[in-house]
Amino acid sequence: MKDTIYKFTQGIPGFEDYREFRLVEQEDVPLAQLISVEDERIGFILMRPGVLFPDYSVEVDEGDEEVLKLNLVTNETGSSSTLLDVEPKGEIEIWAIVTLNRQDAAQSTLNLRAPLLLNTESERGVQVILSDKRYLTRQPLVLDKPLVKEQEGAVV
Amino acid sequence: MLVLTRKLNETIKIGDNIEITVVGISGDNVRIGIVAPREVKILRSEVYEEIQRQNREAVTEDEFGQSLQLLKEFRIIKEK
Repeated sequence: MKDTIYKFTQGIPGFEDYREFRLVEQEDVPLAQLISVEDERIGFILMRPGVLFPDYSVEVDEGDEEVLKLNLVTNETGSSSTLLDVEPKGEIEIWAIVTLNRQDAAQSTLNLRAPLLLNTESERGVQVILSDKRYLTRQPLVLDKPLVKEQEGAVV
Repeated sequence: MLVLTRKLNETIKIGDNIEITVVGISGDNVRIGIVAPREVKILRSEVYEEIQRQNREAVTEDEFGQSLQLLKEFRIIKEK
C-alpha cells in the first residue's frame, strides 16, 4: 500500500483550510483514500477515472501547471495548455472523487468535472475545474451507454 | 459593492496587477478579458460553488472500508 503526503497549496474547494492530504492507494483496485493530515476525520474516496472512462482527458491551465510544477513543452500553436492522458504520463496522476451513495452503491457518482492532479515527484496536488461541460460533477458509475452519448444535452 | 459603468473595450484596473476589460457584448452576454498574475485563481463563481458542494457531499469519515466493500459488491471495480 503506497502512502504519500501531498500539499494542496490552493486547498480543495469546500475544504480550503486543509492543505496537506495523505494518499493511501489500494493494492488490488483502482481506488485510493485521500485523508487530511490536519484532521484525519476528513477524507475522500478516489478512483482512477480511466478505469471506467478510457477516453477521459484533462486540460491543465497555466495556474494549475504552476502549482504542480509541471515541465511543459509549448506546442506548435504557442498555446501553453497541455493534454494529459488518462494513464499517468511521467509524474502526474489523475484521480476523481467518488460521491458514495450509502443506501445504494450503484447510485454512486464520480466527479469528472473537477479531477485531482497529483505530481508524484514534487508531491503537490491540485483539484482542477475543467471547462468541458461534457464532464459531470455527478457522473454515474454504472453506465448503460458510452460516456459521450449519455451526456449529450445534459444540463451541468 | 462598487459598481462602475464601462463601454466596450474599456478597462478597469484593480491594484497594480489586475486588469479587466469588456471585450464583447451580445444580448445578455458580456465577454470579459482578465489580465492577472498566475497565482490569482480565476473561476466562474457558480462553478466553484458547485465543486464545493460536491466535495462536501463526497467527504467521508471513518467508513472507508465499508465504502470500498460497497463499491466492490456492485462490481464497479474490475478486480484483477
